Amino acid sequence: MSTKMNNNKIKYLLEALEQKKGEISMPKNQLQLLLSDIEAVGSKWKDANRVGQAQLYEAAEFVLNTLRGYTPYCDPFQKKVVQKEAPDYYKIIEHPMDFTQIAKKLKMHEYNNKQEFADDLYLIYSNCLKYNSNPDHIFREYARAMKEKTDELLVNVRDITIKSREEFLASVDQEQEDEQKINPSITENQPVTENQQIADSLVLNDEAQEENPQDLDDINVPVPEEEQIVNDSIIINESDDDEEEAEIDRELQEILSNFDMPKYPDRWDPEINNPDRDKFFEPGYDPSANNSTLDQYPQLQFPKRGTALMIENNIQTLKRSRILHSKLMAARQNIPLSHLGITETAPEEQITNTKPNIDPRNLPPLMLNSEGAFESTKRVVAKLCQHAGFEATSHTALTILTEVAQDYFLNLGKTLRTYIDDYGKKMTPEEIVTHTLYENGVTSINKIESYVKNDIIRYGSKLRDIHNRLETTYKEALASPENHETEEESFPDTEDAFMMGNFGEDLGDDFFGFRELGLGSLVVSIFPCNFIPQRLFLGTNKPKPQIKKTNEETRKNSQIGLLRDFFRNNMEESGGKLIEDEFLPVKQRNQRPKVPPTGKIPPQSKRLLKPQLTAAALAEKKRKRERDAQIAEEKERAKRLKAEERAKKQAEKEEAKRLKQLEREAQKKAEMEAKEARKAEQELQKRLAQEAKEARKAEAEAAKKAAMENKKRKTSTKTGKSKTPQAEISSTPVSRKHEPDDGSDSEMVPLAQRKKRRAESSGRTAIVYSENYTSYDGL
Amino acid sequence: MNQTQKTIAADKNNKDAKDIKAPLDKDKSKYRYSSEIQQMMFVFGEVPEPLQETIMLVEDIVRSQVVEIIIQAAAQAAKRGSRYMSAEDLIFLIRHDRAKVNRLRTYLSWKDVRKNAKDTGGNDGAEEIMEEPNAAKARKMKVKLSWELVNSFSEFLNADSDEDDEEELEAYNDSIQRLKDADEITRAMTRDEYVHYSECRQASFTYRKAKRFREWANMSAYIDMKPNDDIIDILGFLTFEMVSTLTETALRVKQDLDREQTIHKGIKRPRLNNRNFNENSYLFSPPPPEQTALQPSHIHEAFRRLQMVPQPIKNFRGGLARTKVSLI
Repeated sequence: MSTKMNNNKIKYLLEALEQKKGEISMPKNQLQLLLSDIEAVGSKWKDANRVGQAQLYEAAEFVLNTLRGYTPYCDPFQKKVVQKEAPDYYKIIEHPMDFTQIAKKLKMHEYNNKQEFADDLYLIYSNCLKYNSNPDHIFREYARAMKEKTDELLVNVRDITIKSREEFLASVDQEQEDEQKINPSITENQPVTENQQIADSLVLNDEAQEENPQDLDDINVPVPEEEQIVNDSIIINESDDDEEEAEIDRELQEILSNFDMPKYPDRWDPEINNPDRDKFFEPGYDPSANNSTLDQYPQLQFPKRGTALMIENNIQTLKRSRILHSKLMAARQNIPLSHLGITETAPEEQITNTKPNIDPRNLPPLMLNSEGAFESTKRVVAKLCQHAGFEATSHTALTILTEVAQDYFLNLGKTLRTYIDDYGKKMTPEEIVTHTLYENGVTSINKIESYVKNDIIRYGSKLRDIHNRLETTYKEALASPENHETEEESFPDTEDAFMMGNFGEDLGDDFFGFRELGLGSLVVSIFPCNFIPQRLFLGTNKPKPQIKKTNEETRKNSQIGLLRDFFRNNMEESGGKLIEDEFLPVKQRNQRPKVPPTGKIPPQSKRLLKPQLTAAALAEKKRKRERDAQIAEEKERAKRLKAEERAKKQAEKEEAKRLKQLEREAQKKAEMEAKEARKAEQELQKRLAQEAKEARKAEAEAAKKAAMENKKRKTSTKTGKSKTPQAEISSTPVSRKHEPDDGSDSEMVPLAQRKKRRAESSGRTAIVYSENYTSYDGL
Repeated sequence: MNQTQKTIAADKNNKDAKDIKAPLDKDKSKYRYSSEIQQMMFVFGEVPEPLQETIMLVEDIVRSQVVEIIIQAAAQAAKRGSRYMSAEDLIFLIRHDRAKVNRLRTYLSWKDVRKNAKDTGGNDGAEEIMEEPNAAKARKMKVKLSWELVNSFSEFLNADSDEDDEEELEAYNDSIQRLKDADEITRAMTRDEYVHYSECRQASFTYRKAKRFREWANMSAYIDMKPNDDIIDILGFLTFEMVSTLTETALRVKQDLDREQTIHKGIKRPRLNNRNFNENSYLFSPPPPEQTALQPSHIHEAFRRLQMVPQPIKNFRGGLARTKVSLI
């Protein structure tokens, strides 16, 4: 109402001034002061010494009141935030602000210009946005609406700076001078008094005002364009942390850096000093609209160290193995690779694709709501799936897995909460954490360690091993028995050669006659050259390896001094000719030890083995070898027994047969002469004797063999022992009770025998169990 | 000295057992593995003659576990869409116990070796007398688990025996530890006792008793499929493990209880462990207290402890969901 009255007053005053144009001889500053005073008449904000206060504060109050009535959006900003409702509010928000506070400040005349007032208003909203970082939060919507309304209202507030009376007069004078300096022509050409000028402008404005009667506040000063609210100028000072807090922060960072967690930039708050901040106020603002995805944020990327790196490496190895595997498949089924849709470069491309090339600072600030968190968890889950060998998962499956993970983490949090609430005073934090983990399935901390050890590190080495083996298999599959490399070299690798079909000359003769048929180029281009050696199709011009003629003299002299004598002697022996081992007749060749039927390598070759293996490996090897040997020996023994039995049986059978024959003969030739009968008898006897001799011989042979066997075994075990002293040490805890001689073969003797031996040696108290015999089930 | 005490204890236990046996004759048919369990328990450190009740309780537990195992394994096979249970289904159930899986694998592969050796020795040994024995035949069978990613590439990899060396080594270390424990137990034994002990070590639920095992477990009542001999063998292995775990846990329970009692009574009694006793015994110190048999309550407590496996995903769910019997 007061403004209305003021308006009327001013209207009349202006009319009067208009009428008496040129009669008034008041200086301009005085006139303005007068106008200002008149305006302030009746206003509760009137202050004689503060020019403009009334105007500014009227407008400000109007804005404030309008905003405070702007339901429902104004509700959350009316009063101070209560600590009870938001315990951490004052940790996050350093400069709280609310409408009540602003009203109070108005009352206390704390604002000196429009800007200060506007700053406080905007502070309310930016505080709100800062605290409620969830993009979907309803208060953000409110703040946005309030901001719009405020923008709208503030346009109509004059940019008045409150000054003391003297200051005001001085400043108006200054202005006047400036104006005259700038526009001297105007003053010259239009010799109207300054008062007139002002009055004109006032009238003009008055008219304008009448056109827009609702803009009552907008009285006589046109809104300068510069007065557009500059939102960026609202600067919320970054908090000055007290030293203590910073110290704690640093410590925390150090601790965190020991874990595998992404390092966050030090207190980089996107809400502050961010030129893009106004974007938040836009109604359609959506973080994802900017084409930025979560994985572009440095905070959400997988760290490049620790287990994450190991997992990443494993996945890469797995990928490469898969490609090799499919290549092998293709090679086997003779399908070109392109049919399988696999390119060698696939993994590298993928790696580069995932690299973000956007500066994180350019991104909209990171705000995680539960959806965003879910998505990023999903990424982790997907990674783990890949690690487990599922390169791709269906969306549903992934979502379900992620939900399970979410559930699990929720449970972890709940359990932790419960423990802290119930036992916070009775238990140490370590105990609480251990209990929480136990309740959630991690029965001991070691489980986590063993997970890293077994499921990541060992798994990784296994994968690498497989990859290497696949690689060798692949190479073998590709390579011809002869040197593959040279062949590759001889093959023209420029495509032009294929196009022109002129590579044939380089390759030697035409094996299948393809070239004669004009198919030369066709064949090669049809079949992937990697899989079928071109040699097969097109022949090769490589010289066949020729047996080198040995030039004995030069050979002899080319040897090192130590060996010359040896070769000379050899030459003399062989009559002037030295021959390579391969071309020697079989008998003259260097005798290699033959592997006897037992499968055991005779001791002489054992010397050649180098003790380069570690003790554990040796022990392991020895154990295996012994087991194998034992089995083989057992079999051998059984066979021998059988053979003996068979031989015996055969002898018996033959004897019986012969006896029968004899009888028959005797019956048939009963009437034959006694001489003949005697002869037959002699023959029979001779044969029998021979038979017996044979049988005896066989037996003796068997016995000899057995003896030899035993000897060999003994020597082998002995050498084995001498060769692996460390292994012996490692196995002592078990075999320490035994005398050395039967300790060496205790594992080879069946249990019954050992029991017997045990019975014989009464002083002994314990025995070694050979796991193959004593326990059927347990070991 | 020790032996006489043990025999005394055995006599006493026998007497007890006889007393109990009388009323239990009628459901004797239900319990068929008393002697085996007794032997097994003895092997794992129990007195030679455990209480009859205890044995029966252990047998009940083992049977329920076997039933649970085959039900779960059958479900697993059904999930695979197979009508036959395979060894994998069983191994899958215990997959989290690495050591046990490794031991089972070694056991299975050696079983295979034995079988092969028997086959070649029996059938064609006579003909092949002069031929070299085929070493490859005696090679161990590799038990491959389909859920191990590594095996999906195996078709192109030549069977390489050195692959699982590390796991084998683990299993080996495990069995060495067991041998050491057995050595510890048998240290003070006489020859006869030792012979008895080593005989007991061979006790098994299934070895040459497959038929009895099938009848005992009464599998047809629970599942449709008929497990083959391999499954029975694995079950034999697992039952052995169960008895071992149960006995060892029960012994620990008993030890704890005894210690508690000692503290409670304020009497300073020497520890029950023989070895510890020997370490601080004097010429005129009283004889070591004899080891008493496990009571059924100990087994109950052990079973309870073994069933107390946290089931994280069910936390905060409430309700009365049937808790699965966790496999020992």
